[in-house]
Amino acid sequence: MEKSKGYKIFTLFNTLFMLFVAAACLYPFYYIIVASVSDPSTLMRHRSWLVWPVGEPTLDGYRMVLNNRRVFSGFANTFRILGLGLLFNITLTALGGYVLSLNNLLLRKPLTLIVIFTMYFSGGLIPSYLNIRDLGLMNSLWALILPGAVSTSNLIIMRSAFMAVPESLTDAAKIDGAGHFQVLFRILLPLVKATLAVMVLYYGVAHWNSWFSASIYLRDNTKYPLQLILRNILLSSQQQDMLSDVPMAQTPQAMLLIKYSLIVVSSVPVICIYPFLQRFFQKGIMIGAVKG
Amino acid sequence: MNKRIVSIALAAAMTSALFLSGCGSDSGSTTATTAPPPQTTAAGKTESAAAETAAQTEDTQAAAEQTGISYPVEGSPAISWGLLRKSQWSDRYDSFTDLPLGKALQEQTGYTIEAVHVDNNQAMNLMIASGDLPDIISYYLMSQYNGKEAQAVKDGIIMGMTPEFLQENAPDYWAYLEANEDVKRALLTNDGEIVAFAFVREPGVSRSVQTLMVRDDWCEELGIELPETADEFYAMLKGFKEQLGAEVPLALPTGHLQSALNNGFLTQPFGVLSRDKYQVDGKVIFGYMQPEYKDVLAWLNKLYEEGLMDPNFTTMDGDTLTAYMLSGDSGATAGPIGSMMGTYLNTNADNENYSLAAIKPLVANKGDRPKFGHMQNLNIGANAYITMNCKDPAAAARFLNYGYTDEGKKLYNWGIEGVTYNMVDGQPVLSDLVTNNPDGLTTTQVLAEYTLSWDSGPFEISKDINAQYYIWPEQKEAYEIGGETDAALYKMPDTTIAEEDADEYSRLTSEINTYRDETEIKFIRGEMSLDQFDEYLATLDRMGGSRLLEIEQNALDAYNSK
Repeated sequence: MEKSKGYKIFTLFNTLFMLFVAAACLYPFYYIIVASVSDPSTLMRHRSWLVWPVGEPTLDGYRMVLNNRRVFSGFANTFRILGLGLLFNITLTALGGYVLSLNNLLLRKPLTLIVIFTMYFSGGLIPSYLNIRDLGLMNSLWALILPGAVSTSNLIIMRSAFMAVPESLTDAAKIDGAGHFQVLFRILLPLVKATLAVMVLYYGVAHWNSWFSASIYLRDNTKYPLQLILRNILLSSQQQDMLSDVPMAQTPQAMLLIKYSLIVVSSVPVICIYPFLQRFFQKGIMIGAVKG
Repeated sequence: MNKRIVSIALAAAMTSALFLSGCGSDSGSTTATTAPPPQTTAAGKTESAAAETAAQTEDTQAAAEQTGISYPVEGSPAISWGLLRKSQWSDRYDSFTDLPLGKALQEQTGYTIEAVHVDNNQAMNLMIASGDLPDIISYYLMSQYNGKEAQAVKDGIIMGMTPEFLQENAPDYWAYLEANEDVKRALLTNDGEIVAFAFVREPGVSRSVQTLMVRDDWCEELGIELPETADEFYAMLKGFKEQLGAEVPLALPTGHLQSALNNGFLTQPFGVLSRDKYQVDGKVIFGYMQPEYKDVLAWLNKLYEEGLMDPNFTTMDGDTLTAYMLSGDSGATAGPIGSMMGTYLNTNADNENYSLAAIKPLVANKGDRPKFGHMQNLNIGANAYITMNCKDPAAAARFLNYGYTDEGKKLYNWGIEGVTYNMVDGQPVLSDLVTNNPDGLTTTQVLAEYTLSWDSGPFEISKDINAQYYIWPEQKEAYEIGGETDAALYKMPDTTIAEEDADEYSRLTSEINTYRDETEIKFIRGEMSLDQFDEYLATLDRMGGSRLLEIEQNALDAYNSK
């Protein structure tokens, strides 16, 4: 079929536009990579687009990051939180989503409303803090895993995914004698794999990026997750506050390198995992959204 | 069927609850911060300490006479100390007590310290709100607590200390307060109690750590002297632009511009000491509400119109400023001597054609002594407070007193002799370990392991510290000339706003400051004509400017009558 001229022109500009958008998204990250191997003094003087490393390329930033033992314990803690956290997240979200997806559940409406209520209202920071303290979770990694074990919006997505599965399938299983667990694990979950992958991604990224709860609940820095370590290093590399200038004998140019290198180091794992989950991504969200 | 699901859910909830309590017991022990210190009776210990001191020979006599407490104290009392964890050491150490400083401190005072670390202000605020506090906390209650320290005493968070309590348990600290009336006054509640073991400065030197700085090599090239007046400054900028081709001669992003104005760097030629509040003979004045302030804005507007200031100064960020100043696109700015001037000099150290010099705040007539300039308060940084959770306040006070003794001052300021500093001609001088660390640590990182003088703490910071920190002669000079002002006469002291005015004060301040900041920028950028300046003053008044002045005046009066 011959394509119209208008169509071709549109495609051309559309492609150019999309390339531009992609470049705009990629440039900041590219900048960080290039900056992380640039000469810090030259970098500070530099004032335009960064295409190639400026000054003598150096790996000092990476050397310093790898010599920082907190970076390793941070990685270990983050993986610990990620592993345990995902286990809790996925299990509880699947169970919760299944319950709320049942048509004949007693008090289903009010239950759903109660769950949704938590999406819009929360007790606030200080009550949460007191709660965690009274549960005895202070200075424990559990304080980062349990309070957010179920995210309401994810629960709703999960519920919608279950509801999208034709009822006749579950009915058939029940006629064959399957109980709730069998229906859930053998019929429903295999059918919503894409949604599960999205759940893993959502929860995983949330765990990976979170630092705030860790900063208020943890006391030992041996328990700090990577992002908190990263944040502390970033903050200490900022210029000191203007009021009390005492601390700053010199802004260590090296901190600039550490900053960029650390961002690269901490992003690598996510970048490695993302492509494998990405193919589920669009599909998974769509399934959740269609009959939401 | 439904019942079964409910019960499964219940069971799951219960198992997880069990789980929680299981790990709770384990973490509970580490967070039980308020382990009571052994009940050594306060009075008995002082007596025995005093007796021991008396028995000791002359070499400690000078100290003993002054202190009445001899360190290390006996019975190794335990003390828990809540601190912010600092990233300057946290990548190498797990706890304050692992630091050489923490170890030396325990050894020298005889106390066993249990450090309770929190990560940031938010976490400390939560800990305070939860009421679960260690014996001592080091923190910024003056800025982080609503109503400052006096309110925290009222709320039962920290202990207000009577003069008798301090005389008995912290004689050295008390001696400092007696000798420095203005610090004492700022720490006094209306009930006559001292609220904190404050981080205080040794009086008598420059307390100015911000400055105007210009490229003096350019001035030389132009054949002009370093500017002292507004006209000379203007001529210099003009020369930078027209003869030397500097793109943006004066690089001042909004934040820096505002603090330069607040510090009186650019306002004095026009008869306003500072943009902010200051006092003249006990009367509070807001610079930005003065009619003369119009001339300041007119002058800035002129710089802006003639392209001597960055046209995008409102959106300029720190990195851009650094790049401007380092690359030679700009030749003048204002900011901290350490983090800005030091950075520029370090980064361009190998560039022979680069030189910076600090200049004094601009004045009306050549040769005038500036009346105002940057000046830190005597009490800056985190203070140490004895909390109401402390079982033995006397023991805590005796521990905190150490930072005001001669030995304690040395430790907190300089670290360990022979390691971080050496005595040269009776003066402590930082060692190579600090200034040129073999492991590649920065000065701050090393000092963070051995001292608290890089940060803040319960001690008297030495007047020689700044001069030691500033490694470049240009910085030392900036520090020195920064002190050559009469700011001490005009600067507002650390007043406390009366409790009943507090809400109104914060509302007025935020509204008026927002309006002022926005309008000021419009004036400078010529978006609003200066003919409208009277309107601006009228609006300030309508917004409650005179009421704000009244509240400040009351606070100052209360302060002066304490």
